[in-house]
Amino acid sequence: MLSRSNPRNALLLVVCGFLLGPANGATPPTLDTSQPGNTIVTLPVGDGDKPSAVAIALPATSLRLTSSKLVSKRDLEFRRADEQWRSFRLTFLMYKPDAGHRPAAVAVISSFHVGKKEHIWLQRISRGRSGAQAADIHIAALEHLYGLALAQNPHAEFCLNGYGHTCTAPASDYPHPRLLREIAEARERAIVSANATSIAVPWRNVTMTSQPKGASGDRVGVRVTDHGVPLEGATVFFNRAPHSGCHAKSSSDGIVTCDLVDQHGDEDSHEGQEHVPILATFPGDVQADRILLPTTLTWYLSP
Amino acid sequence: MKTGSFLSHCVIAAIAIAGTSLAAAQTQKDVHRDAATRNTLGDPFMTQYARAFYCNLPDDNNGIVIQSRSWNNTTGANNNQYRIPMTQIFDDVWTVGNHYVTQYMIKMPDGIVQVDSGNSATEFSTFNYPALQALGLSAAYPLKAIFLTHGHGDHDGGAQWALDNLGARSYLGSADNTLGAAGGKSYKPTFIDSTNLSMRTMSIGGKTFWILPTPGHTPGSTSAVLEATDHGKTVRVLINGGQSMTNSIPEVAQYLDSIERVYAMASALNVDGVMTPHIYWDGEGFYDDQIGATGRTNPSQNVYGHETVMRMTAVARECSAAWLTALDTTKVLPVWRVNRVELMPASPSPNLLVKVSAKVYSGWGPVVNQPVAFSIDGQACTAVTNASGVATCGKPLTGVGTAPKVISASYAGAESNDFIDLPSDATQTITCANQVPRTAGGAPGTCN
Repeated sequence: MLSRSNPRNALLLVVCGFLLGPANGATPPTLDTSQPGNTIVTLPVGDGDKPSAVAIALPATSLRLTSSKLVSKRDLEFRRADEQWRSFRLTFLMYKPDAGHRPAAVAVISSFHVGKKEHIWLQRISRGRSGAQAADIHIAALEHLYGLALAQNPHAEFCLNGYGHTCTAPASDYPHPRLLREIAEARERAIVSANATSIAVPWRNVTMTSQPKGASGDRVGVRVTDHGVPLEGATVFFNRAPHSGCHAKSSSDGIVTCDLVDQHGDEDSHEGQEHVPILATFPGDVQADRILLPTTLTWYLSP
Repeated sequence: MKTGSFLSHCVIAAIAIAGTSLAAAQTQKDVHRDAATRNTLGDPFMTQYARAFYCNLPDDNNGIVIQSRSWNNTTGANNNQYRIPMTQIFDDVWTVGNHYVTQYMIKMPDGIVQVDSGNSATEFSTFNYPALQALGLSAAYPLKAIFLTHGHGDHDGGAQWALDNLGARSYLGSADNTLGAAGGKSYKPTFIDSTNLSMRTMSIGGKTFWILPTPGHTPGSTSAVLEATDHGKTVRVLINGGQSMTNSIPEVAQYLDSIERVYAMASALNVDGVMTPHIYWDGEGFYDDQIGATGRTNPSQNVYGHETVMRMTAVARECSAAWLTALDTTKVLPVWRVNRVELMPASPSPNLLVKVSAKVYSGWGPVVNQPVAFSIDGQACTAVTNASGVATCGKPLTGVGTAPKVISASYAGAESNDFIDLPSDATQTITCANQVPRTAGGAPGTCN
């Protein structure tokens, strides 16, 4: 169980006026080594919600991450720790070298609201390491980050900061599937850069596109493709708040459809349901020679 | 009640489905479904209810929940078999409702506290109000407050009526305030802070609740433990804040985390009873009918026993893990294994050396090569389980006399990447009808 440490531990320093260089967004902020235990997190706290760097103390307690089939080198220990800083919910992804060494943050997920909309930024924390082990850690961090990103609110807007990307403002954020794709692409680049293609199972992005609304108000559907080719036999789960759902397998044309059913049995009517987004989840498919990545798609049924 | 035969068919269907799936290579989903089954330790009641309902989605057997909806009879007209009349389950607790969802009324010295408010104003005024009157409701003996497990209509539908007509304020997890009501709940609940996930006590209408926000079913679902009196004894009962999962990974992950925290709460508070609004989920409806037909037993049918409550919660955890790993097939979660410690028959030997054995096992077989901590008449002793899961320890009895001697055995559990073996313990009392201690000269004592 996660222990939420005291928010009062969090803020030590706000580095005013520190903006990411627009010309070189791939460069993540470096750690302020003058403040041991601090991690620089980029948050939209500047004028006009522009990103600014904030030094935040790492939580004292962390939990070991559960295993994931996405991770190539499972002997590397990664942990997570949650923190509340002002109105931001932060989740640190941390690498723990070995016994006796404190875990160090390698990425942070920041969640915040602009109006009623949730925004989630994922940011790389550069540790300035090099060499084969650093490459392994970098790749494993991205693999864990994918799993953590998948578990975020899919209806939020996202941005990946670092890994060749820059967050400029919440207004420029984008949907969940793009974030997942960007993480997968960053992993691919890291593997090529480290010449680690022999140890890492290839990842493949699956794309879902919504299908037109059916005759029934509860009929939902997506088309599933793997690099443009229809994916047959893929299970897709559909969800509509509060708790309607269904799942089915795709046919040879990659199309999956089913009728949403209230799984709890207490949804009184479907009035206004067109204002509730539909969520489709492809749960992934893990084989020894490739992984079809789990992904999501959200959309509104047109009236 | 028609639900019994229907459920039997559903359970058979679920087992058949499970068998088919498990014949293939085991996915993480199937590993956890199998674990849920094993954690019942063959208990048919738990198999019929908790195992079947908590695993409704991973078993692809949601029909049992959909069918249960038909029991949500809110009028009683022509469907009396679905209504549950006011039924006393503890000395100070009554329930009323239907076989889908019930409400609980707790009698206090100065008024009544209720758990959930029913489907609607009509249902509250038709069934809950007369029940409260039967319990002595008056201006001097009011309905003091309502604890809402979450903000869905089948739980808070009567809250406005209770506020308008009885002045009873409802308590609701803050994150559910906008559930189905963009501007907030009309009955203006007192909020339980849903962002603080820690267990804490809270006085609701003067009744102490240990509350635990448990998001997942809804963002503001709240579970609780409270004390009731059963045949003069204090029992602690668990109120599960919301059952049923969605098809959303983050929501199911929250649900799983919540169940794990409910397990920790029930363990820490030594909970031994249940009081869950959706009574079909863990079989309380069966017992409500039984109480109505033949009366309350001692202990009450709602006292499931601590070991059973913990095992049922572990079953729920495994069902949730099964569903999360179905929605994200890359996720690997350790299996929770419920262990049982059984003290073997122990009798003091002629020299007053008490040898005690304990068997430790789970749905996976005997627990081998694990330490068991014994306490024999206040003296500590540790032994390791053999290939049959049996550990044996001996200690001389101290003192003289026939006073009962307490013996206990405790397994602390273990953890690996694949499994979390849950702790377990057992306690037994032995007596010597006639105990004579060892003499100073070395002559053996006797105990018979």
